[in-house]
Amino acid sequence: MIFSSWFANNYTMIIVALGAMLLGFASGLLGVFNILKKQALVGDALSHATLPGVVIAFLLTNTRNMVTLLIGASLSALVAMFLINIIKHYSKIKSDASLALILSSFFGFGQVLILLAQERGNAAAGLKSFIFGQAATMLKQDVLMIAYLTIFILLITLLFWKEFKLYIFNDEFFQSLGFSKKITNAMLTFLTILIVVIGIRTVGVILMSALLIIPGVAARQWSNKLSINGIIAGFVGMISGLLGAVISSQKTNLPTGPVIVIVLSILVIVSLLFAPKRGIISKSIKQHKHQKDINKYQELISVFYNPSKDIQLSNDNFLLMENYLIIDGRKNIHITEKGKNKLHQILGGEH
Amino acid sequence: MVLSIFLIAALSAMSSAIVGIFLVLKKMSMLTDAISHTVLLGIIIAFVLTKSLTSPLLIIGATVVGVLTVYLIELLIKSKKTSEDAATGVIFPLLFSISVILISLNFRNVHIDVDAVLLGQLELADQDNILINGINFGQKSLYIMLLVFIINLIFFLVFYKELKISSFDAGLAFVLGISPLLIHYMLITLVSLTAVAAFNAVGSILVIALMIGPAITALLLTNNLFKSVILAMAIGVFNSFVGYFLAVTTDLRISGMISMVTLIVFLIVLFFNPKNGVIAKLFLKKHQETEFTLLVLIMHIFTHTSNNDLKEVELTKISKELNWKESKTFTYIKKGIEENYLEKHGLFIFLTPKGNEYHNLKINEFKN
Repeated sequence: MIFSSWFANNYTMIIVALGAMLLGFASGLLGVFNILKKQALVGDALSHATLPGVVIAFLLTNTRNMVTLLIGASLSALVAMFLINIIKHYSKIKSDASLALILSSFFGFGQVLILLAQERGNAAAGLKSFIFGQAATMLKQDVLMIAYLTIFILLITLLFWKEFKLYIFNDEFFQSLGFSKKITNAMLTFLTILIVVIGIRTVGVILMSALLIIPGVAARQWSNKLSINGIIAGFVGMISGLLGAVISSQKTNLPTGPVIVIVLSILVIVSLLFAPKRGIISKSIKQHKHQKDINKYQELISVFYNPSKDIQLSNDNFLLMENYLIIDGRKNIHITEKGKNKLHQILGGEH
Repeated sequence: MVLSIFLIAALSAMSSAIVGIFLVLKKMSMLTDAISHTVLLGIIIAFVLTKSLTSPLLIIGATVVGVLTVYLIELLIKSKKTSEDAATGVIFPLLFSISVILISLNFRNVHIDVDAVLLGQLELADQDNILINGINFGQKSLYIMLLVFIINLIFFLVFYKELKISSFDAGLAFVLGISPLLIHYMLITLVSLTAVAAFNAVGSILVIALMIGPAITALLLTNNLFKSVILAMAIGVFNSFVGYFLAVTTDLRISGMISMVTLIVFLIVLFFNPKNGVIAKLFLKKHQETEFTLLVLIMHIFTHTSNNDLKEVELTKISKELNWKESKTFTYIKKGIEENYLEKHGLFIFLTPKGNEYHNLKINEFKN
């Protein structure tokens, strides 16, 4: 009973949180591929490029029906992607420059159209929510749509896991096996467009790119394995969606999208600092320890590198006491088996 | 005061074009996207400190945050934790989100409207005039933009050599005693300053188009750095003019129109540029294909006639030998006869003396 009343009281928050979690999971997972393929900012450009499509769809149909607007958004993102590819194929212009131009001019075009739409009165007011997102107005059917999409993305990713992986890490080998680079790239782009189009409703055009990039960057710090990267990124996105939705529901005027991004950023900072192998702190701890070891065992190292050199060791040197080195009858210093193991440990793979 | 609005747009375009070329050449175009979003945070912080929306500290604060954005992105890249574009995508959403949250929590009633920041209100630029003792000295934005343009122009002219060397070969610049890092951060500071000054008038999204659009259009047309900067400035002014004109006649947003025109002009140059445009390239490709196919036919006939293999140069046999469709073979034989390389004797195809000459010429070309 308590639960059901809690549920009723927080119905909006639960819906928003569910939607944000699913969205976070799907975009985190997909982002891993995009980041590894060095197309992290494609999502950013595409999300800006959806704006004119949304407004044109509205102008043509005069309704704010979700599905119509999403179709418009997808078409306009497709046109943007097509232009980006043409520029890449036929000129020396680097793709970052073409992304920047497409992003801003499509967005500018969308703005011009919004003004046109506003002349038609109030119906256009909701179009602006596409720019900054309005998670708080998410409905049950929006969440269902995100859910279907997440399942779809998950299925495609699992089904084509091997292909995506090969394509990302070694596309020449991938092609030599008879797979098409073009089709695989088109599939990835298509999935990205889908998630962007759904996501802009929730977090807005500008912050959609964060959902696609940050979870992947966080995940990358924890593992070198693609599958684990995907899972971690998915969960980072999901947790951020959940926390972002819950925190922003606590205070009026606190927008959901930016709060999600803040949570994401905190998670990525934690990952950058504390991840066990690649983290900044663990790396510097390791480096410090290594430096200390080299100082402590410097006689051992110098005996190893210059066996003929005369090295003076007092009898109570800990290297002798702990059997890393021994002195034979003719006062020559030798490295014991234990000493060799220690050297191997300090110098790593060098010897 | 219509002229002054166009002047503001044109000055913004020229200031942006100067720094834009170097951003494109250094492959840092998407930094404009990052900077133009994050300067908002600087404006807000400066606003909190000064309690004024007109203080020059706003521009300084925003410029500092722009530079800080780039610094943070580069810090992340240097730590080798992630790739360049992903680093950009990590840093700027954070700073932008902080500013959006600050605005929505604290400044609901103040005129820092995210919408206005992103899109700018060029139309309103002439309402903000400098009044001294009641005398109107014209638009504030115009003076600011003029100042920024002069700063950028001086920077470009004075440091042209340093900019050139450090854009193309940072290693050489270092050896020559130029600090690429110093030049880099001077450039970033100016990018930031230009973005801040321009977005007051034209909005942060248009700033990206102004910086990158004319620059890449110019780079399609020339390989000379100095020329490309001048050309980019001219294209920027042209785009602003057309965009402004369209916006006024249709009564739509100027900033959006200019960014649209920027893309369209770029695409026109990309497609129709006679030197290396898409269409020129397609034509060249088609031409080369035809020429090469005809050459294959000529070589085939040459080989077999010189072996006296008359059976092989029979009209129907050629298709089979070359594994071509018959229609294709007929087309090219017709073409060969038209150009006087081939002649037909009954059912057999032979080379004319001109065809022989052409064949030998091409063979020699391949041998060299």
